[in-house]
Amino acid sequence: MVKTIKYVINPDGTITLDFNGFRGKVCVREFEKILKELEKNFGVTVENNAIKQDLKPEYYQEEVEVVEQ
Amino acid sequence: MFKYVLDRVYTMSHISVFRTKIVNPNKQLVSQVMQALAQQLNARLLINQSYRDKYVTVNADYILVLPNGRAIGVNVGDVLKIVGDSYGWHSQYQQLQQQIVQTYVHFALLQQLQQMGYQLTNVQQLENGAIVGEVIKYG
Repeated sequence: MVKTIKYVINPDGTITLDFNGFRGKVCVREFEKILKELEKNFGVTVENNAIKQDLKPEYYQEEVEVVEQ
Repeated sequence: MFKYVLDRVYTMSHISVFRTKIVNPNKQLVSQVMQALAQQLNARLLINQSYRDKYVTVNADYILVLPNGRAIGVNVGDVLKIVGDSYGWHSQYQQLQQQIVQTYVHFALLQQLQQMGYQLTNVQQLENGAIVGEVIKYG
C-alpha cells in the first residue's frame, strides 16, 4: 500500500497536511509523530495548539478481513 | 465451515491544518535555509558579520545582502530573530521575513518526513507564495 502525504506551507506559516492511503488510525498516529518530532528536532511547534482536522470520505469506507476455516 | 471477521480496519485519511511557530530553532537547519535563500535570491550570505545597510548597521548570525544593496539578518537564539531596517523597502522586507520562516518550516518538515522513510516526489511554489509538495512511503 502506498501512503502519501501532500503538504502546503503558506507564507503566513499555516501548514496543511493531507494524508492518503493509511489504514486504521495509523494516519492519526503518524500525524502526532510528525508534530512531536518536528518540535523535538527543529523547534517547530503548533501555535496555540490550534489544529483543525477533517476526516475525508474514505474514512467511512470500511474494509473487512474475513477468515474462513 | 466457520466464517468470522478477523479484524475491521478503516482506510482512514484526513486533512490537518495548523499554524506554526519556531522555538529553539535548529542552528544547522538555519544555516541550510540561509544558504538556499542566498542562492535563490542571488544574494550574498555573510556569517557572523555586520553589514552597513542604507541607514543602519545590521549585526546578525546570518545576513543576506540582496542585489539592491539592502540587507536582512537572522539571529539564532531561543527564537528565530529577524533583524534589519525595513525603511524604503517595507513590502519586500516583510516578504523576505515570511520567506525565511516559511523555508525553515519547509526544510524542517521535509527532513522530518525523510527521517520517517518518506520520499519526496513533487514540490513547487505557487504564485501566491505557498510551497506545495508530496511525499510517499511504501508498505
